Amino acid sequence: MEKILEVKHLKKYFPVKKGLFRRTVAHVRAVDDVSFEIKGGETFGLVGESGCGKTTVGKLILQLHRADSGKIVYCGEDLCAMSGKQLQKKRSEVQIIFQDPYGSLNPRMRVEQILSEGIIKHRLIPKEQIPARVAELLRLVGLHEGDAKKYPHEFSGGQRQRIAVARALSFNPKLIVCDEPVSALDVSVQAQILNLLVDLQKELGISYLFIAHGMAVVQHISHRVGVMYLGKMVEIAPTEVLFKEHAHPYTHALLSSVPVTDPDKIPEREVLEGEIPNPINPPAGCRFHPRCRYACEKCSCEVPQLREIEPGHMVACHYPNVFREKGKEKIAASEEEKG
Amino acid sequence: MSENLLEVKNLHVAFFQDGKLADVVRDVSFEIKPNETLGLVGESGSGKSVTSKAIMRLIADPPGKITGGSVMMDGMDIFALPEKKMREIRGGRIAMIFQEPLTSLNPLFTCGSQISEAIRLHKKCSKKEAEEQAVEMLRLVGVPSPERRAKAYPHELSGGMRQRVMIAMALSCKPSLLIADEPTTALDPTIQAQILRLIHDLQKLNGMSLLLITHDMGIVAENCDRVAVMYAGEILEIADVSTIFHSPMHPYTKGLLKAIPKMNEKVERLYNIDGMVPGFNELPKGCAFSSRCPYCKDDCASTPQRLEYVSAGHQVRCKYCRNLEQEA
Amino acid sequence: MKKKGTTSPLARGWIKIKKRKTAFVSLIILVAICLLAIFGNALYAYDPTQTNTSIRLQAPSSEHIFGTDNLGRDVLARVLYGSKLSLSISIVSVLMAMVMGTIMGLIAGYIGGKVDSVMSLIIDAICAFPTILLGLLLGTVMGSGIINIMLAIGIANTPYFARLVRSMAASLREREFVESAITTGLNHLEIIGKYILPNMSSVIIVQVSLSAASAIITESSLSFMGVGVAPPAASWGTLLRDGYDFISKAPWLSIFPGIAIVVTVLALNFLGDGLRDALDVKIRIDG
Repeated sequence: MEKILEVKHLKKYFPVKKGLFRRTVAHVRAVDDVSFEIKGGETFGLVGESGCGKTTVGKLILQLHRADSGKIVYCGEDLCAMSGKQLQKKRSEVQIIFQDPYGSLNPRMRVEQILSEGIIKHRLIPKEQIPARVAELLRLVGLHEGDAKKYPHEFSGGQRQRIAVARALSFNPKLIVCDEPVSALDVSVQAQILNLLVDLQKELGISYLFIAHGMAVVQHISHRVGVMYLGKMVEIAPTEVLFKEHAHPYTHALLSSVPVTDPDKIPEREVLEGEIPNPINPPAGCRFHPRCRYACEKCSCEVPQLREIEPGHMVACHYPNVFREKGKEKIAASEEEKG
Repeated sequence: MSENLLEVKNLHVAFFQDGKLADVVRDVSFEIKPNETLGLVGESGSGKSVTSKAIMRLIADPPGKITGGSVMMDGMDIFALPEKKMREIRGGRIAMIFQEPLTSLNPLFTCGSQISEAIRLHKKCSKKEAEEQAVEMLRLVGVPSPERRAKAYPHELSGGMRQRVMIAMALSCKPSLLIADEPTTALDPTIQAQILRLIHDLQKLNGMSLLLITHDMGIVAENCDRVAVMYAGEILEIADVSTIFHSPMHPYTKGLLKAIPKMNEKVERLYNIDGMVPGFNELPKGCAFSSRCPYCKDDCASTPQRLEYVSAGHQVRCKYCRNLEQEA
Repeated sequence: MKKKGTTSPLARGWIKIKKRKTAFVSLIILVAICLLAIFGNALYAYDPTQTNTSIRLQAPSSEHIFGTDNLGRDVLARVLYGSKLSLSISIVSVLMAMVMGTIMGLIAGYIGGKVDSVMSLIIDAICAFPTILLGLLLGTVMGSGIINIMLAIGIANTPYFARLVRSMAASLREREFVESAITTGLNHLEIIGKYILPNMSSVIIVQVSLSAASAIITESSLSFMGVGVAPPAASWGTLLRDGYDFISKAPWLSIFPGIAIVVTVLALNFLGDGLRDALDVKIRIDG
């Protein structure tokens, strides 16, 4: 499969401004040297906790924020190097579905206007074919043709998310950034939207960047998954590998914190201590080291690079798999020390 | 079998909506035994939060109104108590924590003073003693350097820390029942795991019962002894946790469990529950789930269903639930 | 705008307005006042400028319902005549304030950053001048005249629109549907025209009706003080002032223009409040 998107050493610092003259006093290191790629027809899941920069990565790809440095290569062209008109045209091919279906649709536009806006702007098809296309889009996402004349407030949350999907599809995009698309929906409606996304991918060959914090949802929909922590990518692997043979202690803790839906098979849980540090002033060395129970001196001064430990499996940790090999003995040792 | 701590019987709550009375909670009955954790699961609009507010008698009237039923706590009829006695029960015997601690903490006072205030409301002790106890509570809920944090204002703390402060406040008077309304929904997964473990540990330590309200089936599976599944204002099924997860009887419970992605098993396609939760003004006369139920019979939408025992401790609100297997 | 069961947000507002009695009655009164201002003199028997010294200062009677003034002119004809100027000054100045304020507010709120700081400073500076003082100042510098009084009231009302629009634009800009408009490839003007302005239209409509009420009062005050509309032109304010000299002898000279002002201002305020509820506007003016 060819790469459809390649993100290389992406960086975005947000200035923190204070005082009367709005002087920059510090930077939030939202995204700090992140690289990954998405292949055609693939779903790449991006997980992490609040402040890890996953949403910023999505907005950088859409060019809603401009990156400080790094490259976003979409179909062979660097979006970061483009400007003005060129970009306006190109970026309509990368679309977004937001978390909040109440906030992402203009309340003053009818569904047909919402769906045809991009088509008209980019002259994707002749004008007289637009009504047929709108009807087709609505059918694709499981709505009725008659819904075209309605306003967003006349729909339920799940239906609005379908409209948002249809809007994204109206551009014939090759890539859709899904930013927590089901987090705001009821459990019984989540499955409808997830199934819809999977069906559309099979039918139209779209790639997804699927940003979420729900691990089970990401596991269900993704082919490959990237885990972020405090602006850094800590692990990338194919879904099965990541969920069974992950090598980074943070991934391990994150997966371990997810409650399982079987009361008889509750695993032994590794509850991570401490809080997520402030991304304005992230810890030196490995950013995870203050919360990592396997950290040693090297971790606190040297930044681990993302490296491939087996084909397709990349980890940014000085001691990958340490929690498997040394986990038990190290805990035992530390308990001896205390006792 | 031990005596019940809390008994909710045939609770009905209605809210005024566009000039009409909408029955938001209908015929809800359950009981909680000492030291037991009951999970109340449901989607938005299922009436689970309203139920918990009714137990605390916190339904604002108007627009809300408790239209029927009773809540017995320790043999006392909650709805018949004078307001003064009720204030003693709130916080003293039953405590409550919410999803977003920032809105339930007063931003103008330090965390320490709010906890000591809560202590002094229910216990006769000097201000100094209460403050010392507040610090002690903060230590108990795992707040690092509690002396310093007691002097902090709510906005200076992270979400996880605030929830710990809320828990410290709720538990400061050693209640026998804690109602936790989506206590971890606003938190990150690793922090959620911390808070859930904390609640569990404190429950064992203090010997209290827990009413855990959530929409997350995983949290239910791991933390509850018994589970009540709510939908559109009614309890559709109630049973112990392993029965709910391994042999659910109601079509809604079955569908819900198949519709959520699971960590340990990969399925190609999730089960689809078609349609959406009906609004309270468009509820059918009969079973509330009938409009989305794949097994719906002719009379389902017209005849009301009763919550009936199918086996000991397992109640289901569906008269056809025994025959579903053969049909499928 | 009504099509088979689907309603636009503004159409929903109209349906709600019809349900609110005070607002709907106010609207009818305002429409009536406007119609009277436009057609009143043409339909009424007496000429507002026709003097007749033989019938000076007559009390209201069946012949002259509102009485006559010191030059023997019919007061009802004068009030109808004055309403033309009072209403048009109020309408023009508020429209001016709306356009200027919206542009300033959009620039400040949509662009943000340093532009916002500078723009907010200007807005606050205008706000620091009391309307009357501004009117007096403009009146003395440029001479009293209808254009000047419109300008003065327009400028004085601009900051209210600017602040409102600024805060709305700043919050709308962060909304997800605006971000999705950017990914659609729309340029800034298209985004402002299709996404920002339509979503603040209800707030602006409410502010227009409230500002129009205050504009009528300002115009009357300025004219009363002699820096507003100058004779021979007449507005409700000048009528009030002319009547002031005869307040004890012929109170009807002041009472009827006064009633006209009060009714119009009250109706505008009631309509504004009704609209605010009907359109579900949450007005926040950040300090």
